[in-house]
Amino acid sequence: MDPVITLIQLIISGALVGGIYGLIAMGFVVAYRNARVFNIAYGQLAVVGAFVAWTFVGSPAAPRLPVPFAVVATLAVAVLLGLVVEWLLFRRMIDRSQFATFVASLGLLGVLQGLVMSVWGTKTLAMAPVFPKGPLHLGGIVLAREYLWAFLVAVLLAFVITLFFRRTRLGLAMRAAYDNQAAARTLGVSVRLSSQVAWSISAVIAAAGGILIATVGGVSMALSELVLVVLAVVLIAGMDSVAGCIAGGLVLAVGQNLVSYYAGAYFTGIESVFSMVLILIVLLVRPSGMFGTKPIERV
Amino acid sequence: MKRGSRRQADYGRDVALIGGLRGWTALAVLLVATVVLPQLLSVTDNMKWVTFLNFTLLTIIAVLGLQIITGMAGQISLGHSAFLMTGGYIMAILATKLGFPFWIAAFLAVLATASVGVLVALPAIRLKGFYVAVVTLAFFTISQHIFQNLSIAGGIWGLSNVPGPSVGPLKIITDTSWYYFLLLLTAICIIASASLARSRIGRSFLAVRDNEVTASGLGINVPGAKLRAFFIGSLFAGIAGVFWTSYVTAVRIDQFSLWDSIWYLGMIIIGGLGSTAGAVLGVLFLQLVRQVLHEITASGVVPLSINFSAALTFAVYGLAIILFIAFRPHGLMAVWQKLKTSYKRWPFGE
Repeated sequence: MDPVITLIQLIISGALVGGIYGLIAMGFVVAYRNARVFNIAYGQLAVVGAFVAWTFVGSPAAPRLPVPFAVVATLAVAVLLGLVVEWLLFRRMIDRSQFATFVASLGLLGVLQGLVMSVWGTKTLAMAPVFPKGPLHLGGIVLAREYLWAFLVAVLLAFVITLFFRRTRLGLAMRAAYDNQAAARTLGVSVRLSSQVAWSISAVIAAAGGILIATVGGVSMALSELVLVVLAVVLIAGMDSVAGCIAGGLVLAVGQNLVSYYAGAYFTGIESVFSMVLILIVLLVRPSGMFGTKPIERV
Repeated sequence: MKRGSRRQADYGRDVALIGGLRGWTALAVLLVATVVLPQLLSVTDNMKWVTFLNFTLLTIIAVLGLQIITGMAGQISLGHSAFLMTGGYIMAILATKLGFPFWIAAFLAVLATASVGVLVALPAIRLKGFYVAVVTLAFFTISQHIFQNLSIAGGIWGLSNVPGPSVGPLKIITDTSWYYFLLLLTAICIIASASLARSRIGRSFLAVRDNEVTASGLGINVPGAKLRAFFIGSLFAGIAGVFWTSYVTAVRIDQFSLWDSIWYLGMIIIGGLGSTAGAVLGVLFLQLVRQVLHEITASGVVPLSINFSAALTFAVYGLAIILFIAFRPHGLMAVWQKLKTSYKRWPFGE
């Protein structure tokens, strides 16, 4: 194949995955900004979402519910999960240090891992197609149809979430609560409601992202490594930028795609190493990320 | 450990590791108990419990290191098991591929691990809080992939036939001899860690953890303190990694997982952040929990699949961490102190 065409194809297919990464990272940022939790268990929320979706959608051999119903049911379960996590755990830790909530999320990681392992096992499960499958020819470039669909849905969702935080009353109130909790309270913003909404949104995005990734690669525990991707994306984007996540996702996924195509033969898992090295470089050169507003504390 | 309430007559006695007649008696009892323990256990059936004790001792050494980095100096590390991995792999490569004698290989491997610790600390010392956690996480992922791809490290199969240590004419091969060897090693590490905690360096770690600005105001070199913490902490991890590899005579990539890093953090939370005894208690607690769960599922009293028993361990560990951070954030050490106080003051309340 023509090397230029190959390069273009790698970039485009990477960008499609990047959109999904960006969407997933948004959920992490929402929890970090609005619930003030560095949720290391976030990848596990996506895993739970993907397995719940599999339960509703069914395997390719034995589909269960029609896809739209299954997706709605999954997202409803995700909202429930988010609310339960907030109610049982993080509401009780609202006045604790960030280290304490971080440790609590480590514990949550173990609990969710145990839950998924005991309910669904450790095997990779194939899911019935959520999007139409098949190759799509554009000139010399071949793209997978499901990637394109997943990308479109991801971008749409990202747009809706950005709109929510910029235009709606509740979204603006939540941003106010992030800026200054005490001042927001005096203006009648309910910090509890804000935290509940943040956890629901975070869990829904995680589940949606989990489904999108699962349509591409199947449902398995390996999805939990998503948190590494998420961390890379949010650090590239800047910890507090929702919109920057999409850009960060694009940079990461395109880079990973290129690196794994050109150097994957010499070093297995080079795409993971690439994302980690990217994290280190960003942290050293520009710790607030490409789109972050608040400079992080330097010693 | 807080000694604020009861000061001794002079400073030497105040900072002594073991105070008074009661302290020495407790130590003697503990010493006899740990020495006799494997003899008692070997009466039961097999060497299972001695093996369990050996892994517990190795974990104690590793967690003492994390206690220095995270508990004392306040740098959250998610990459601690990668230090063990580094120590273990370098040990295995030196001893099996390059033919170094055991003790030289062990020494070099521990030193190399501590140097890697400083290397990791270099980006980490310029950042705070979660960013340090992310840097150490990145270090874990990178080192895992490097060892997996290194042909001299045996790829995904790892290396086997790693030799065991010998002290003079004594070869350490059987589980019981390993137990006494590791007991001695752990005791040295505990004494070293406890001595560090009351030295100038250890106190500078605590100052950095509690408030970096104040610490630098007191003339403490903050980046230097963090570098030292990472050096000493990864030194402990290196020791644990080297002897872990040597004890199981092999090293593989899945031997030191990210989950181990997470459980190590859980152990210092459960034991009590910043105290040497807390690290030991935390390890004992979670190791016992794991073994009890294992016994329950293995005995077949409750019909559970192997898969479910592994899942149960994850869930129970996670739950233990959550419950401790939510309700007893100062860990078992605080619980112990409280019990001691209320015992002394009985029948009066607090």
